[in-house]
Amino acid sequence: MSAVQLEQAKKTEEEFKDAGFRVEKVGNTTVFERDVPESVVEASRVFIRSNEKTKSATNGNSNGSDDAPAIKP
Amino acid sequence: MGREIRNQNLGWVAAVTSSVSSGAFTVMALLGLGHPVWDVVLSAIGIGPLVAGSLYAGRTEKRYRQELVGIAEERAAHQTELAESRVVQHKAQAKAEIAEARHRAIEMLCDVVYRFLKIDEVHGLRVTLLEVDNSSEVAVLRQVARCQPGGPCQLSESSMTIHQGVAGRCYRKIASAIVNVPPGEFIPSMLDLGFLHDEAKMLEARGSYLCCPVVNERKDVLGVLSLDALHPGAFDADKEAIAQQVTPLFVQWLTDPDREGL
Repeated sequence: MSAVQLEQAKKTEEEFKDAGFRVEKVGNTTVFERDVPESVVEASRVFIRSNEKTKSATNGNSNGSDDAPAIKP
Repeated sequence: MGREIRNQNLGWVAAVTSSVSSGAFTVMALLGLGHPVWDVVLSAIGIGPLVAGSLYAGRTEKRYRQELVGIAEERAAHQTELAESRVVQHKAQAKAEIAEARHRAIEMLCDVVYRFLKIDEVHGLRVTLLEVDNSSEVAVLRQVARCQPGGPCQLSESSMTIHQGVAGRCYRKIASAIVNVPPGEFIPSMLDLGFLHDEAKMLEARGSYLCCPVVNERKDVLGVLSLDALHPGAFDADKEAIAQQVTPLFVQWLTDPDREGL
């Protein structure tokens, strides 16, 4: 790597660190990692529940989920 | 048809015989030749074929009806078989159509991500959804859909285990991962990331990778949203945040309860 490339790499590392990434070295390769935020996990939960409701409705259980809020027009 | 004709003939024989015996009986009575013995003989000649004809016709009719019932049953069975085969054929066709529609849907979703990221075309961004395939001893990340400049494209033949590549690391760490590959460093980087030399040589060289895990509510990784670009530095923290935030959209597709039944 040239000096310019090294400088750029260092700058990139700092930017990622500031944004909350972990900087991991795997051999000579740098990996920037960040955990999945809870908001994303929560959103996934909503989509999975939506599938479960669809499955329940398809199986003849129109109730779907026990705590599903009623949708009113 | 043949039986009907035979029955008709036998009826005619019986009728003619009866008429002849009745005629003879009348002529003899007119001529005053009546005698009890003649009565019995003539009656027997007339009645005998009549009774035999009726019995034969009845038995033939019964056999004919049985054969008709057999033919009808055979025809009904054949029609049922034909209907069942059509149902199977329709089901297979519907299954293929649903699978095709599902594939188009996931391609569209990848295309949405592609457009959403607004990465300069010079980077030749590719968006790929990888699904975790646990059917083998070591879990594999299998390509499901891919988009590149110009829209959805063919999936590549390559696959990776969960111990290989940026996507494999993303799966194992349950975290987003970004890797920039400096020019000329592709093979060494891939070796660092778990590929064998022969495997690394088969891969298409790219400069940047961004992989986000697609997780369920227990943080089990269902798949990996993998983005790659031609040049290093294509992805920053903002792009990672956008990509990570769209991953729940893929959860519904990956956990569709009807998927296995397709």
